[in-house]
Formats: sequence, structure tokens, C-alpha cells
Amino acid sequence: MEERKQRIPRSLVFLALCGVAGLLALAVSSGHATPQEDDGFRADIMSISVLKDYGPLTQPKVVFLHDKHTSALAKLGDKYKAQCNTCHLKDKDGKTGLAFMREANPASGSDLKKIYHDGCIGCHTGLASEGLKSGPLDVQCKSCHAGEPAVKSSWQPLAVDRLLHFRHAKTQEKADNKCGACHHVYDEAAKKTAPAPKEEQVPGSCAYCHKATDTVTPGGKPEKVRSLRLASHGECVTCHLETAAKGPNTPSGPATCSGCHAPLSQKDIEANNTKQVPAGADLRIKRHQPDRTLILALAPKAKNDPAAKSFTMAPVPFDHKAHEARGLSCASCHHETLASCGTECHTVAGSKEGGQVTLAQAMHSQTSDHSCVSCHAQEQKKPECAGCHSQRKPADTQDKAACATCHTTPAPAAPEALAALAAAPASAARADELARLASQLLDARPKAAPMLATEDIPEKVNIGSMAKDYEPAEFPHRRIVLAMAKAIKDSTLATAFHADETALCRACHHVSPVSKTPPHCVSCHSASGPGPDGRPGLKAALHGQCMGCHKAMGIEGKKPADAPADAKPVPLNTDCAGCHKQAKK
Amino acid sequence: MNRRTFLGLMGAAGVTLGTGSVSHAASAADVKGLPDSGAVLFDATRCIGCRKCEEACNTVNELPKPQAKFDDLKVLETPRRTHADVFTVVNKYQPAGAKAPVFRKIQCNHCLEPACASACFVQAFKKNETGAVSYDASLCVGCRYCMIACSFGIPAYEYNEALTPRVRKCTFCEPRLKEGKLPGCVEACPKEALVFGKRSEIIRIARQRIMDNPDKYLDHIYGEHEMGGTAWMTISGVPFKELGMREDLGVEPAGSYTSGALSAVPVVVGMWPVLLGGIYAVSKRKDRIAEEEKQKAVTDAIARASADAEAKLSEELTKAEVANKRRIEVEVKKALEAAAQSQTSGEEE
Repeated sequence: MEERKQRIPRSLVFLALCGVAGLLALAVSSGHATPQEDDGFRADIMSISVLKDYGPLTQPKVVFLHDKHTSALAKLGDKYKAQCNTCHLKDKDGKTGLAFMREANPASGSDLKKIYHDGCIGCHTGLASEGLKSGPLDVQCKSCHAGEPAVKSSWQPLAVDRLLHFRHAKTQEKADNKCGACHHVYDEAAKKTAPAPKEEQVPGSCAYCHKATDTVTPGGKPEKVRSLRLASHGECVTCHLETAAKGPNTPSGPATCSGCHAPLSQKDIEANNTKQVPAGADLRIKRHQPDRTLILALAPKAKNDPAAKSFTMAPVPFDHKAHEARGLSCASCHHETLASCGTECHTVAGSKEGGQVTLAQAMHSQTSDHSCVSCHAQEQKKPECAGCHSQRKPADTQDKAACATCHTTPAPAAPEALAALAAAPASAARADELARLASQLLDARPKAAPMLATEDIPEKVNIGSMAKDYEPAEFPHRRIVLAMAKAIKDSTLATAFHADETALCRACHHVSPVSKTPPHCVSCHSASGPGPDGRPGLKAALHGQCMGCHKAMGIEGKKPADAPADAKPVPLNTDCAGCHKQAKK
Repeated sequence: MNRRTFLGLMGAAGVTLGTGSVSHAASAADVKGLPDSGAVLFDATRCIGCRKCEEACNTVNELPKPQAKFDDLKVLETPRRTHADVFTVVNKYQPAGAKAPVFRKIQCNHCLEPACASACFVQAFKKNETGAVSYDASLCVGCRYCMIACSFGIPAYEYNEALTPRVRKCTFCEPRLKEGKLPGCVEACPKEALVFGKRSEIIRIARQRIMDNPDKYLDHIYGEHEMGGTAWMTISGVPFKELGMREDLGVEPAGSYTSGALSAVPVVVGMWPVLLGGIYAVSKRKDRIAEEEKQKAVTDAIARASADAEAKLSEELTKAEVANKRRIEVEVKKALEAAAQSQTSGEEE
């Protein structure tokens, strides 16, 4: 009886030790992927879960590190002669497919599973039998089916901007296909896509047809379209490999995942863009687009009264060439097709093709990524603009007087003529007429924003009506106004919208009609506290304006670039004495 | 106790529970009450972390001066909480993805249906019309249930006081409110990050700010409905979780979780002893009377039986005596006859 009593606690201790050992082993075993970049993240993490199309998955997704495999195989030299074709087979036309070891998905899920298992585990087993370091073998299911990767992904999408496009286009200048090396059109006769060698044949950005997933449109031209991912990898990576195969002296693009998608690589690409594109090079992606045009649209005529007259909104002269330098590429604004915005999709009344987004909404939406107004609003977030514009409510931007900045009627202002021009079908003559009218309006705009005369801007303002615990603040008014005007003088957007000389005053001297002699803040902001309509009291109004501007411009504690050496840096918001000295008791 | 009695008692207990009215602690939708009570809006996008509010609170409430001065902003590096002599603190937070740090002022939220008042069994906490949740130290017994009940972890305790420790928290400067002045912290803030007004007005101001600046604020007024609504509300440009504010509180006031069970206490304490005791007494008496009757019946039966037995006995005895007598007579007669016969026969000789 005594012996039995002793054995029980001893066995419990043993079990407990086993449990602890097991937990420790679990903790140690996680995290087996090796870091790729300095920050330990990888850009080549792929998640394989193709079997989900065949039914619910019985195993977690496979975490596959593509670059790890290509670099490991490259080290094998002779064994990797087929390179990509080791895993990605060529089809009957000699084109490398992007699926793993197959041309098309088999009918049954178990066949697909077999392809992957035989392909992956077979290769691993083969290498292991030769004594080489290899991947997980059979019965090590969870080594591949890990579900979530152990390392964080640093994958970033890559956009082909104008600089990158320039570098690529240059390589094809003397080629036969020219634009057709990358851009293709649908050949109705041959019922397949054919290269588009001429500029005007290019439909535009890849993303116009190649969407996030493979698409099949019955009756479409063509019917089956690869996803953007498959299309871009299939075209870009294969071309880079073919170019690299030509010899070590031919510069080529990256062929690994991290070469394009890792943040460090993208910084290198940017650096190369600046290095390899000569200064002053013409980066324009040519597609016979107008330099300047007039945005003019007519609402559809009433069906039951063809004689009824319809007039256009005051048109907008648009400097297309200047705007091309702003966005990443054509697709920044022409987000679905290179056609003009209002012809088919964003008509004045809205249409199905345009998702019922009317022309007005398309041009003025505050929340879209492609509208004029939202892009201008983004510009207002730059530090030199944000000081004033962050203080203004978005509703202020719908100030109706600002409409006239863009919407101007050319002289002679004949509404019938404009309506006729708007209704006329597209032709070279029409495009020329629009360009002529646009130039007339654009050239009439002032080149520099008007400013008040320096003597009209008070030099210093003594802010002290509430001074109690602190002495009045001496505000260097003129220095600040002139510095802000200088910071934005090169911005054409600012010059266009700051149409009158008191525009800059309006950031601080707000709401009341602006003039050279604006009213004292205390006229509207009470010193005793906030007002009933949520209007801040005088103390908060002053602090809110000054501190808000400093915070939005990010200049707290900093000195302006052109300040004299003895100038004080802008005080921190919490540095009360920096703006107004402590009052002596 | 027999089964019937037991079942009867259970049934009675259940029925009485149903008759007691469940105290209907108002749900958040019902808390329309107190729209005119005082409230304060804290705007997290305006606070610069200058700690002037802390200084003003310290002055107004005549609290002991802390070690680090109020313009020492290095104390913001460590998150702090309220203490026995610190009614409000400002904490600094660095939300993920934000360039600049964000600051939050922590103080009693003066809930519309305070958990501390609900937990206090001596009613030391009261929600007043001014909006303040006030504390009466003369009623407090020092159990500190209020500190456990508060979801925001605000009430602090004077652990260092041996004889008369108090629970300490923001008072909403009730004396100043009654004089028509602003709370000390609200008056001191240079950025009007704190705005005082009627609760309905404050909510309207908050909604207006959010509507006018959709990019600047999250579309939520923290405290409008949380825990049934609080008097001190917050609007922010970063998620409230990043400011250390609990987002898992729900809209039920703390009291509503316990009001159901607590409302049963008067019924249980008041009615059960009386009713169930009464039923027990009645049933016990019935048993007792039954017992008594049984006893009486037994006694009567015995008496009757013994009387019967006595009668029978005397009858038998009499009979026996008679029989005996007769036998004796018979014997005597026999003997006499025998004697007479012998005499007769003797004479014949």
C-alpha cells in the first residue's frame, strides 16, 4: 500500500515534465523560413490553395517561397538547365505556361493533388537521394501545408509609371513590333490577339482588359482574358529572361519575385529610373493625344421635342500635356479606357457603361481616385498647402465662386456655337477647334498669383486682448505671409485658384468678407468661451489657428529654410513661452 | 417532510417570485433622461498634451502638489491612472500608422447610470441634475465595491489614511457648476479640447464637428451610448482602442446586469419567510391535529377494549362462579345423596 502511494505522485511528475518538454519543442519549431531582406521580410511568399475550386480544403494552404526555390535550383547549375521550364511547362507553341507542371487544371481534385505531390515531393526526394539539401519529403505534411507563413510579407505591387515606360519603350524603338512588344489588340480575322505596333492601335494600360481574376466574357473580344497577375508575369518575366539569355552584356529586368516586388528593389528601380532616363527626356507616352483641349459636353436632347434647344455648361479648358506629368500614367485618370471621359461612359446624364456616374460626378467627386477635384484635394495635403487648407472645412471648397476658376466661357461667347461644337462628331477639325479655344482661355490666365502690396500687409500684429497669465504675443505677420506666398508661387494649381490678391488672407481671416482691413478676431470669437453654434472662444480660436497650422505644416520646432541664422525655430505647441512670455506676477 | 408538502412549498415559492415586479433598469434606448444635465466633450484631435487641465484640477480642488511639475511633459512617457490625490491625468498614445502622438485626458466619466452608484449598498454615490456623480464620504463604509464596479477603473482610494479613508474621483467641480462657472479643467484648456454644455447640446456639437470634417474624425461619439451613456464624451481621429479606451463595454448600464436578480431580493426576503413559513405552519398544525386525533382514537379504542374486556371478564367470572356454585351444589347434593344412601343401607342391617 505504501509503495503504490509513492508511485502515483512520481508518475505525475514524469507526465508534467513530458508536457513541458512538448510545449518547448512546439515553441522552438515555429519560424523556419529564412529572411530574404535585411528587415527579415520576404516578397516571394505564395499561397497555394488551387484545390479550393474542387471542394473544401482538407489541409491548410501551402506556403511556397518562390525565390527560395529558384535560387536553390540555380545553385544546381546543370540540373537547372531548363530554368523556369523545370516546373512551368511549355505549351505546344513553345510558350511557358504559368501553372505548375500542367497545361490546364485536370477534372478531378485528386489528380491535381497528385500533380503537386508528385512534382514537389518527387523533386525533393530526388535531390535528397543525391545527398543534397532539399525540402520536405512525404509524410511531412505540415511542413508544406503550414497555412500562414512564418515570416511577414513585404510584397508591394509595382506600377509601370512614365519613367519605367520610357525605359522599356526605348528598348523597342528599333524593334519590328515597337509598341506591339507589350501591347496587343484583338485581331477579328485571326480570332486571337495580335501585337499592336502603331501608337494609335494601342488600347492602353494592361489593366483595362486584364482584371484581378481570369475573365470569360461570352461574345467578348477575346472571350477568355488572363488575370492581370498571370498576364504581367507571363509577359514581363519571360521577356526579361529571354533578354538575359542573350548574354551578360544585355541589360535586362528582374526575373525574381523580390526583384520587382520587394521594397528595397523598388527603391533601386526608382534610383535607376533617375539615373538612366536623361534629364529633359520626353517622357510623354505618345498616343496622339491632344496637348490642350476644351472639356465640353452637351446633355442629350429631349426625345419628344427635337427642336428644343440645349446649351452646355461653361466649358473647362484643360492642359492635357501639363497634367500628363502629374499622374503615374494615363491610367491615373483614364481608368477604364483611353477614350474621352464623356463620350461613352460618363455621359452628362449617366449611363450603364459608366456605372451611372454622371460627368459632373466623375469630374467633381471628392472621394474618387480619378476625379479632378479629388486629385486637387490631394495636392492641398502637401505641407506648404496644408497649413491653410487643413483649417478649412471641405464644405468651404465647394465655394461657388471657385467654379469659375475652371469653368470659363471662351469669347465670343455664343452658346449656340458651343452647343453645336459639343454635338458635332469627333474629327480632326473639331479637335483643333477645341484646342484653339482652350489655348485662348489658358493663355489668358495670370502667370503669377496676385498679391497685396507689401505695405498693405501689417508687419507685426500684437495679439493681447486676453493677456493675463501671459504677455501679449508679437506675431510676425508679414514675414509669415510672404514666406507662404513664396512657397507656393511655382504651383500652377495654387496660382489658378488663388485668383485674387486676398486669397491667402482667407485662411486665417475667414468667414467674414475678405478685405485689406479684416475685422479683429474678437468681433466673432468671444473671449468668455465657445459660442452656441460650436464656434470656438477667442483663446481656442487663436490657439487653434496657430497651433493647427504649425502641426499641419510639420514645422513645430523647425526653422524655415531661408530664415536668418538668429531666427528662433517655430515653437512647439506645448511651449507656451515660445510664443508669448510668461507675465511677471 | 413528505413529498406533497415539499412540492407545495416549491410551487408557492415560484409563484411569489413571479408576482414580484422586476425592477426595470432602463436600457440605453430608454435613457432619454437627463438631456439637460451637464456634459463635457473631449476632442482628441485638439489636445496637445500641455497638462494645463491637470494643473487647474489640482488648484481648484486644493490637492497636494505632485513631485513633477505640471509643465514637465516627460511624465507623459509613462501611462498613468487616477490616484487618491490626482483626479485627472493626461496620457500620451502613439497610434499605429499615425505620425504624431495623440493625447487623452482621463477622469470620471460621470455616467448617466453609474456602476459605482449601482454597486454601492449605502448609496454614497448619486447622479445629480448638474450631471455630476457625487460621493458622500459620510455614508461610505470603505468596502470599495465601487472601484471594482467601475468599467473605466476611475475611483481611487486613500489607502494611506488610517482612520477616515475616502474614495476619490473627479467631482465635475459641482460647486463651481452651481455658481455658473466652468469646471477647472475646461476653463484652463487653451485649445478648447474640452467643451462644457448640456448633454444634448454637446452631442450636437460633436456630430457637427464630425460632419464638417469627415476626414479628421471617426464617426463615433464615445460615451454617447457606452455603459448607458456618460456625461464626458470623446471624439477622436484615431480608433478609440489606440487611446486605451475600452471598446467592449456595450450599451447596457452596469446596473441593468444585476437589477433582475437584485429585484428578487425583496420578494425573497419579504414574502418567502411569511408565506412559506405560513404554509409550513399550517401544514405542521394539520399534522399535529391529525396526530392528536389519532392519539385520541387510540386511547378511546384502548379504553373501549379494556371496558369490553372488563365486562367480559366479570361476566365470565360471574358465570364461572355460578357454574362453580352449581357444581359445588351438585357435588354437595351428590355427597348428600351418597351419604343418605349409605345411611339408608346402614339402617337396613
